[in-house]
Amino acid sequence: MSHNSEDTFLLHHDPGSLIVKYLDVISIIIQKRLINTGYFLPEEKEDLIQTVCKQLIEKAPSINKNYNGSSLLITYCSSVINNLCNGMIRELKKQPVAIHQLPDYVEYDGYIVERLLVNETIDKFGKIMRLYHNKRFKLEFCLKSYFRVRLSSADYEYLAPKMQMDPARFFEIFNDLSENQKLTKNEIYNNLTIILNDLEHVNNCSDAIRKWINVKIGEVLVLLNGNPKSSCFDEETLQILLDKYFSKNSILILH
Amino acid sequence: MMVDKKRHTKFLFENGHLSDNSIALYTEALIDDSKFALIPTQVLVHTEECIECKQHIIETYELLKNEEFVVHPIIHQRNETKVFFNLPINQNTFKQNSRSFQGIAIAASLVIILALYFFLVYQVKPDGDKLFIKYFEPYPDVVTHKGNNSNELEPFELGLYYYTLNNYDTALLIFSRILVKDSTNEAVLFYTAITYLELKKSREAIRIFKVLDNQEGLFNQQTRWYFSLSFVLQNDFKEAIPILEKLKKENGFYSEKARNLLSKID
Repeated sequence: MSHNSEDTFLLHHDPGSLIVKYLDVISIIIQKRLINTGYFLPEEKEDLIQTVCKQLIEKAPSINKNYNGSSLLITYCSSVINNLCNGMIRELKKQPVAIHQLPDYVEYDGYIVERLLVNETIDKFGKIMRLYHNKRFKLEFCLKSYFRVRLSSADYEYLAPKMQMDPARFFEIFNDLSENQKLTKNEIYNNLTIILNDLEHVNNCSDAIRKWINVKIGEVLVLLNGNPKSSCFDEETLQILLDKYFSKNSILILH
Repeated sequence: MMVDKKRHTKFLFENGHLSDNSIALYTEALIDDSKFALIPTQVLVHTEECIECKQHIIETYELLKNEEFVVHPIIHQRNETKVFFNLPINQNTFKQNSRSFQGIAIAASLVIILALYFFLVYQVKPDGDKLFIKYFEPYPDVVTHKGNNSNELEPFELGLYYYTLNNYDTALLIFSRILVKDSTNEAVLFYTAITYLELKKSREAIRIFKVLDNQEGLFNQQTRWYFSLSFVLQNDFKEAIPILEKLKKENGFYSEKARNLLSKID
């Protein structure tokens, strides 16, 4: 019997034991969401664990009813616990009081820390991009063009067969977006509008693309910074991240 | 069928947003790409547009991405994953499970009683924990190229860097991340298992050593030696003995050690 079947069995028959089994998970999530973010003091951790356990016991029948087995029960419960933590933050309307615990790796030299943090952020950005599913290519293409990151041959190979316009014209616009560093923002929007209208068979104006890009950049910044805010990304630092991300992922994985 | 469809929709969404089922499934897919195929289209489409759900998924992913209780079970289950959306909870199956559990419980009780009997009759038994401490030494880093002057450390080298610093938690975290992307990398699997042993997590180590022991590779003898020590740590000498016997016969680097350890537990 797999771990998950054992857990599901406990959920049905003995939710108390399941919660005891998940105590480590509860503790880790509380540490990361409520203590490390500075909303609660470390000495409050035991009380927080008690509160979450009590709420989980109360929620056990609904978890039992709603869990459909598509993921591990422990992941499902982690999502529930995360919601409970978010509820606590909202209810108290507290501001972070302090940063109590720095990540484990701060004791090591700067190079390692920097590399780990950069890798973590690049990984997070990649996962955010995955959430855009069918819009991922469009978003990445717009971000690259907007932030003047060089377009890749994979971008060209993806777009070229789908374009209905004259190939020479497409090449000219694509090349302009990729190589011409002197393009103004309006020229970028105009070029993007021509390509995306052709790709999506629509007739949007460049202002619509401008608004869409601005909304999406805002979204990406919110997702990168987290809630409660744990980073301070703005357009400038996003550009640096994009440079690193696309140089690392020069071959696009398209879905 | 209509009822099932309604049920699926209900379980995928809640109050106009993704339910915890969908959040959990998407989170696992971000950890293990192969699970993406299991995400229903309506969940993908909703997530594409909903910033709140994206935030929720990223939050959950950030909480769980390095936690081995999620990362490793997913890797372990990769080949066993089934689509559950078409399977409403079946009470009969559940009752059958419940009955089989009673049977297992009775069998387990008998085993425990027998074990207790043998324990009382043959009380003098070697102490696995002490033997493990005596014989276990972490395997040295033989992978990192010492003459490498490059400033760029590969992720595996970074993991080994922490491994050699005895920071096994961080090493394990990095190895786990590599295994998410490449779950068959023999060297990473080997050092992950040794790291688990360092952390006294013999069950997890055994799971990996079982995989390594079934394949021909660079660390065959080393795998067997540490595989046997994992069982010693669990006081499961019955499992350790045949592995040690095999090592003894191989006349390799670990033969003498195996003979020595066998004399203590046989």
